[in-house]
Amino acid sequence: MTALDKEFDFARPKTIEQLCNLVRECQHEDRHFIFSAGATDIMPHLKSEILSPDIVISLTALHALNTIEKRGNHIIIGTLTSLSDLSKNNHIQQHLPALGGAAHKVASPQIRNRATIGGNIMVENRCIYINQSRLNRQSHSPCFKADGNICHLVKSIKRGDDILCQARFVSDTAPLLLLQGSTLDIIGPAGPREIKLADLYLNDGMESKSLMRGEIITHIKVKIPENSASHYEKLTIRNALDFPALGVAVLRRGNGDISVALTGLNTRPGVFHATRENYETFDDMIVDICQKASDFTVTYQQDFFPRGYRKNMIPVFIRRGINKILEGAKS
Amino acid sequence: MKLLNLTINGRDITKAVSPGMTLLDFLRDELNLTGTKNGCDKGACGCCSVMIDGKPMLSCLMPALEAEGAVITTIEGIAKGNNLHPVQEAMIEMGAIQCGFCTPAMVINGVHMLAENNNPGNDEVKECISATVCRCTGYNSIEKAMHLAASKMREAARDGS
Ligand SMILES: Cc1cc2nc3c(=O)[nH]c(=O)nc-3n(C[C@H](O)[C@H](O)[C@H](O)COP(=O)(O)OP(=O)(O)OC[C@H]3O[C@@H](n4cnc5c(N)ncnc54)[C@H](O)[C@@H]3O)c2cc1C
Ligand code: SF4
Ligand code: FES
Ligand code: FES
Repeated sequence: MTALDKEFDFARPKTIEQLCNLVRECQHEDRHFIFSAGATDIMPHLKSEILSPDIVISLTALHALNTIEKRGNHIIIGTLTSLSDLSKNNHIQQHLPALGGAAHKVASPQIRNRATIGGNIMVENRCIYINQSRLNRQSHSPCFKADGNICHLVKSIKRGDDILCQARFVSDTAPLLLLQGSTLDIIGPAGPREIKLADLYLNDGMESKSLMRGEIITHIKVKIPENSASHYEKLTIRNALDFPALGVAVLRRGNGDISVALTGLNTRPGVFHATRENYETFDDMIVDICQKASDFTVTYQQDFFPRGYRKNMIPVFIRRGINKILEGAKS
Repeated sequence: MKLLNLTINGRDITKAVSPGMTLLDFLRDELNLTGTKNGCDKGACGCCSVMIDGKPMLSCLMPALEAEGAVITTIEGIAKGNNLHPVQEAMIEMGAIQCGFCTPAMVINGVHMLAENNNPGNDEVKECISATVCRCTGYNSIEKAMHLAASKMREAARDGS
């Protein structure tokens, strides 16, 4: 018996040109396609039939995207790089150690050996109602994300509202990449383009990324940080296998400015900046950025941790991140 | 159906598989390699770990067709004939096997960790076994088995040199 009961086709193009041709063909024939890289995110979705494509297009034969290079003052990360290769890479360890650390906090060693950084920044938003087995989901009516007419998590949402789905953003690597001002190289049937990572993320948990159909991300470009340090802290029950109930990345610049990015809470990551010279004391600045982060945050009961606890942990993690950075600067 | 070519436990295999088949089901149902277990079928228990091109990965999260050209070792390929791998010996000696469901995955992950470093610290051992769920042992005996296997491997390396 196959675990995936719905039949679909599978293709593994070897070049970007073959990929774009295949996408055009699918679009022309109106075949529903999805991309897969490490497949550690899409497989559970296929098994529970949250996704039922006509064809899965694997990116894994695009070997040229499995590289990390230093070019001038940028690190260029090919999106097919596995999370375990990313953590161990010399350029990452030297210039972006906190990013390597965040990648190391994803899922489990076996998953990190397969999962890619491209898949991680694109990972589908999660919700306790939809990310369940088929059998479990049959026990309640389909929600908006499953083409239904209700949101079980936030019952007050109605069709016509701006945001239909509150499934939460969960990528562990995106927060630090956002703080570094990363940009993405994108290619698709309509040609190449470049966007800021910040512009990838949208507000709705069911349409949470801004890529156009058929586009893939080929590279993540990160400027090598000068005179700054960062840290990522993740709230989970277990050290392995858990998505972040809350993830907080903190970046401190040499001039004392602080930036914070959050994951695991809202439909999209939150990013906040505080300029040191606008505050009388360092502590005033921290209090203010903690307040901004808490104000932005909407938590629903989507995790083992009570929602109030997750929210209360935001300032704790921001302060802990800053302390870790300051300790690192001393050592 | 599409043709899949790969090497499993040293054997070259070519077989037609459906695109919806996972590597786990391919191993268990098509090749009868039932040592690799299906615990959760969604990436959350680690019991389906196999070595793919030298690294442990979850076979339940991998379409079989993604393994085209891969070199795979399952638990059936770890012992050399009747000679158990030091990790297997140590698991028996430390009583680290109760129902045995998690054992193949624990062994696969342990073999990989010790191939990279035969003198792992406590944290490394804990991380290695952290992602395979064991409902029986409470992990202590497995941790001890990994340290015992490491010392066996260090000894063998010394004797060999
Ligand atoms: C048990 C378990 C625990 C997990 N824990 C965590 C966790 O703690 N933190 C976390 O962040 N994630 C977690 N995940 C989710 C997932 O494993 C990771 O996010 C992983 O990095 C996804 O990468 P992938 O290559 O496997 O993605 P895939 O499954 O291949 O793809 C994921 C999505 O990204 C798209 N995609 C992939 N590559 C590209 C590209 N180059 N361009 C455009 N689109 C692309 C795919 O189309 C798909 O929509 C967990 C998963 C499991 C099963
Ligand atoms: S938040 Fe989204 S996925 Fe969750 S129940 Fe509501 S519509 Fe469905
Ligand atoms: S069966 Fe693959 S992780 Fe549980
Ligand atoms: S020995 Fe039974 S699950 Fe580990």
